[in-house]
Amino acid sequence: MRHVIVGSSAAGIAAAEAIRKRDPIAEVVMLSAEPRPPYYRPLIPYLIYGEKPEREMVREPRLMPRNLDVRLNVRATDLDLATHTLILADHSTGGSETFPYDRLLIATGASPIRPDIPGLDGPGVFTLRTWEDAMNIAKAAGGATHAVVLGAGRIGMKAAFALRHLGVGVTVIELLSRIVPQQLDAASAAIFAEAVLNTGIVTILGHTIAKVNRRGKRTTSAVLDDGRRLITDLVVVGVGVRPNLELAVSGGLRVNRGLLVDDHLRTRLADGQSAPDVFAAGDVVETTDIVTGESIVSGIWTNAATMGRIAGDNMAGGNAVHEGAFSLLNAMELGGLPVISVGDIHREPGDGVEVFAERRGSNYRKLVFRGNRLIGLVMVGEIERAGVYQTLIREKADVSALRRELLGPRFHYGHYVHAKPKVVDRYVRVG
Amino acid sequence: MKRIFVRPDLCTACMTCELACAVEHSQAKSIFASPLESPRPMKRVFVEASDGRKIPIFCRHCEDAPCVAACISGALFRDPVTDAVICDWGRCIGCWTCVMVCPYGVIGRQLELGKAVKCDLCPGREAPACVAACPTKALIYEEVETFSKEKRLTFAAAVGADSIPRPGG
Repeated sequence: MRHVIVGSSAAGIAAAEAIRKRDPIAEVVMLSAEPRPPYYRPLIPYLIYGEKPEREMVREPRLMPRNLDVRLNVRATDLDLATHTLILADHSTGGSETFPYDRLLIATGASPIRPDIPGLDGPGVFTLRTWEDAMNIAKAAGGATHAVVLGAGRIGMKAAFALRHLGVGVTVIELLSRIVPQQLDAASAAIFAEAVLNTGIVTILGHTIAKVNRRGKRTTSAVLDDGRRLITDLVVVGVGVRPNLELAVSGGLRVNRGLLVDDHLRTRLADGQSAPDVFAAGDVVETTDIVTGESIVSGIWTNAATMGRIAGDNMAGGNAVHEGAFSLLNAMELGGLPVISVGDIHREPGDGVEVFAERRGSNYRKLVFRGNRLIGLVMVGEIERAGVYQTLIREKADVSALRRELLGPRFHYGHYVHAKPKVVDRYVRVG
Repeated sequence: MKRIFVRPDLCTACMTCELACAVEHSQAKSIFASPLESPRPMKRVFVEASDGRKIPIFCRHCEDAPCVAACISGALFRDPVTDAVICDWGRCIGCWTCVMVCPYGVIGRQLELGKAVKCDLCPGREAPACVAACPTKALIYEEVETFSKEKRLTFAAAVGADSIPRPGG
């Protein structure tokens, strides 16, 4: 039995672990298009300012699944479902080969979007997705005094902070009316706007770049949509990612915005039937929002790891069910201030939705309820025990009996246990 | 594989376990010297109350631990020897993803260092400090099999003696 995993990040590694857990002898081959051994993608902003040694950013061999055959610099370009084969292009030798699989996992991830803006496709303009991207930004930042970042999302802000660390003057351009618009609501974004301002990063909201100017190969300035011209040595684009669907499409699998899957993370054939031996996990997948039921492509590490574990388990003969993913499940620290946001945080009150929000200094808490369920959470500053709230959201728990405790600042797991059905209570008492 | 088990009915919320945990995870390991240390020693166990009942809350070192799966820097890992879930501070970047996913809410933050803090089952000790310090034996450190067998027998005896109603009856 040969399991082939295309992709070596969160979903791919989690799948390899799950396969190994069930099957110690099957052959597991992991294909990575990148030249580096598997690393922790979320850490790459550190490469820009070199705060973390590189060896602490790659996966420790002792924690990798045993007997995993990792092949680097190899891209799977074509998939043939009928013959159970892949065509691999080897970047280091330039050759190609036909590679058979018994079970396949498509964990090809996503690639940064480059909006169609004049001058945005050329030297001096970067995205931040891979190790190489980060190294390229670091190199360009070396001689730079000014940088412009397009997009104030997670990646844009990480890039901005990293460049600021190097003493580069940074201006962030965001089309929406607040920074980190997906992960923060208006009130929490205001708290972070202060923290960002204190670092010397300039943010321009409600605008985008209309044109990037160059002299020869050097980027010289960015012109905004209102005509303002910003002198800059480099531009970093962080406006989101799009699933890498090429391999799935070459095999005739069903795709929409992402690769479509069933509840066991098997991919689907053109006629809608599950493709039995081809699974998918991670950022490439289009799945169901666990909170709202909508169809989403998430791009979240934790979702990818969960999907990888489930897909891997099923590839090795398990029967694990994927309940869906979060469209928002984010923890981060920006400018020394931590924030956790989960679920449907942008919902306005009314129509069965209730919103509780409380701000004390730079501490902020927001809970969104729909009916008897908790559906959204934002915590800034004091984020302790956020996981208990996250579990209530994930489990779609009936929280009507917990309302008072949830609104208080000291909600803990004990409240949750005591609100569970009585049979558990009895069992605990006898013990 | 030994784990910490809690018998909530024996807990008097004296907080000795919390104190012992913080002292054990300090440099001086002394109740007199440790509180003055920097960074401040932190507890990894929590005694809470709800509904007038005490409930000590501990890290379960979950089999499919959400914190290990979610860790974006490879800091959280399962120790191959003790089977405990450990945080490697050399790798931890303080992103707090583990705080967000722990269903029990038992991962804390060492604010001075920006590192995640969690139960490590006190490597090198015969029993974790909290268990050794518990005066009422509400905390026990036992093989999982031994504990669940005992629990089964007690429950069966209670059902047999009709001291609790049978399911459905």
